Amino acid sequence: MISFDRVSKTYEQMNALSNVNFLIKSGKMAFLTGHSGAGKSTLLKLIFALEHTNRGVIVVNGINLQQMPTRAIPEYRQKIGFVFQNAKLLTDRSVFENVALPLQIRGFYKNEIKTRVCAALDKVGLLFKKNMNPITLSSGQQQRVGIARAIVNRPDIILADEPTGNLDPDLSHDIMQLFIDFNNIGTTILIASHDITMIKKLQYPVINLKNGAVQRDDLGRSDE
Amino acid sequence: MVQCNAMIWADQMNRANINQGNKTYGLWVSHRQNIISSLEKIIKKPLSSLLTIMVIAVAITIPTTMWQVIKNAQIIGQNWDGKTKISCFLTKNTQYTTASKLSQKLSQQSPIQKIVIKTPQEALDEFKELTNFDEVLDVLDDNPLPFVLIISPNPELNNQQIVQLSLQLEQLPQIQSAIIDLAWLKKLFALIELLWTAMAILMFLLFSAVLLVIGNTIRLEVQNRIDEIQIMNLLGASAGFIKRPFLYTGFWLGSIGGALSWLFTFISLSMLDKPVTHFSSLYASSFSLQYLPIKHGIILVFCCAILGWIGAFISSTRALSAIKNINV
Repeated sequence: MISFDRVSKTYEQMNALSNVNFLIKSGKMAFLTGHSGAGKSTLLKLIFALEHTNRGVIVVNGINLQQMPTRAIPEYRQKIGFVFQNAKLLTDRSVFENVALPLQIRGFYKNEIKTRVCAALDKVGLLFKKNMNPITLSSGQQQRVGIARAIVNRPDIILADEPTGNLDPDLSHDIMQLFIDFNNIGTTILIASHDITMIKKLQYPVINLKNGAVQRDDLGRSDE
Repeated sequence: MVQCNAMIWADQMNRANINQGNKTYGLWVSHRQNIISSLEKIIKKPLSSLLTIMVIAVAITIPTTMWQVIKNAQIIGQNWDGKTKISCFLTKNTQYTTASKLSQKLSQQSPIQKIVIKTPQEALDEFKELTNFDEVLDVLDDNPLPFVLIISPNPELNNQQIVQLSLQLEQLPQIQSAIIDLAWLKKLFALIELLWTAMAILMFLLFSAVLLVIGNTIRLEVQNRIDEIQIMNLLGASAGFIKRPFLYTGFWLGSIGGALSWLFTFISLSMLDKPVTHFSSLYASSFSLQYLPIKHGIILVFCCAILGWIGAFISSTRALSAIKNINV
C-alpha cells in the first residue's frame, strides 16, 4: 500500500511536487506518467526514502515515512524492489553475484542464495547468463538482471523508474509482462514511464503528473 | 513457459520466506564471509597492500625493538645489582689483626655474604695504577690510606636494605665510614627511566602513524568502491554491513603488519646479539640477549589488529558520511 496525502517537495524554492494525493492499495499495479521534469523520479525517491517531503504524509505498508528513524531506512528498503533506469549493475562481478547482493545484505546462507538467485534469473529468462559479466549483456538483458535483483528478496512493493526507457517496443513488452506476472502473485507495483502508447495498451490505472501536480488519477476506477 | 517459470519462482520464493526467521545466523555468515574475503583480497593483490603493510611493520618495529633493548638494559642493571659493594674504611692506625678479627665477626652476620680485606699497601698500589699521582705519593713518608673491608651484601637485599646495612656498619667504633658503590647503578636506572619515557612518546607517535596509514588506505579503498557502496545503500544495506569489509581489511592490514614487525624485531635483535655477548664477556658477565617473548609478540599482533580496526572504522565512517545522500 502506498498513500500520498497532500505531499509537497521543494528543491531550493523550485516546486518538484505540490499537493500530491493518491492511494495504491496492496497488490495493485499502476503507472506514473508525465513529461521529463514532471516529478516522476522525485515521487519514486520519496517512496524509497531517498528524499524527505517538505509537507504532507507518505504512508507505505503502514509505515509513516516522516516518522521513520534514519536507522530504520535500510531495513525498509530491503522490502522494496527498485528497478533503476540504467540497471545499476556492478561490473566487477558476475550476473549471479549481482542478483545475490540483496540476499547477502540480509545474511542468507549460500544454499538459500543459490536457490533464490537461480529462480529469479530463471524468471527473467537469463539463467544461462548467470556466470557472465553484466558488461557483456545487451541493455535489455541488463535491465532484466536489474529486475531479477529487485525481485530476488520477494519485496512487497516494486518501484520501477523508466524500466523500458532505452529499449525497443518488443523488449519493452517482455519486461512489462514480467511486472504483470509479479503483480499477479500479489506484489504492489508502481512504474514510472513516459511510453504512453504502451501504457494505453495495458489496462492499468495511471497517475499523470504535470509540473509536480497530479493531472489525472484513475486509481479509484480500477478498484471497482 | 513463462507461466511455468512464474510458478516455480513463486514456489521457491515462498519456501525461502519460511526460512527467513533466523537473522543472527545471517549476521555471523556475513562476518565470516568478510573475514575470509578481505584476507583473500589482500593475498590476491599483495602489491597494493604491501606498501601499507611495510609502513606499519617498520613503524611498529622501531618502538618494539627499542622496548626490548631497554628491557635488556634493565636486566643488565638488575644482574649487577647483586654486586653492589660496601666499602668500610677503618679508623687510622688499625692493625691487621684488628681488621681481620672484625672481618671474621662481621662475616657471621646474615646480611653479609663475603668480606675482602684490602690492606693500605694494596689500596695504595691500586691508587697509583689508576692515577698519575705516583710522584706525589712517593713524597709522603708513610701510607695515608687505611684498611678497607669490602663487603658484599647478601644478594637478596634490595638497595634500601643495603643502605641500612651501611648505616649500621658506620655505628661500629672501628669503622670510620661506609660508602656504597651505588651511584653508577642509580645513573643507569635514571637513564633507563628516561629511555622508557622517550620510548612511550615514540610509541605514541608511531602508533598514530599506523592509524593514519591504515585510515588513508581505507579512505582510498572506499573511494575505489564508491559505485558498489551506493548500490549497496540502495539495496538496503545498513551502514554496518557496508563498513564491515573495510573494517576487516583494516584488521588484516594491522595484524599482518604487526606479525611482520615481530619478525623484524627478531632480526634486529639477532643482529645485536653478537656484539652484546662480546660486550658482556668483557665484563665477565654471563648475560645473554633476551628476545621478545611469545606472549608479548601475540599481544603486539593483537594490538596492531585492533589499531587497524580502529583506523578503518574512523576512516570508513568519515568517508561514508560524505557519500550518504546519493542520487538514484
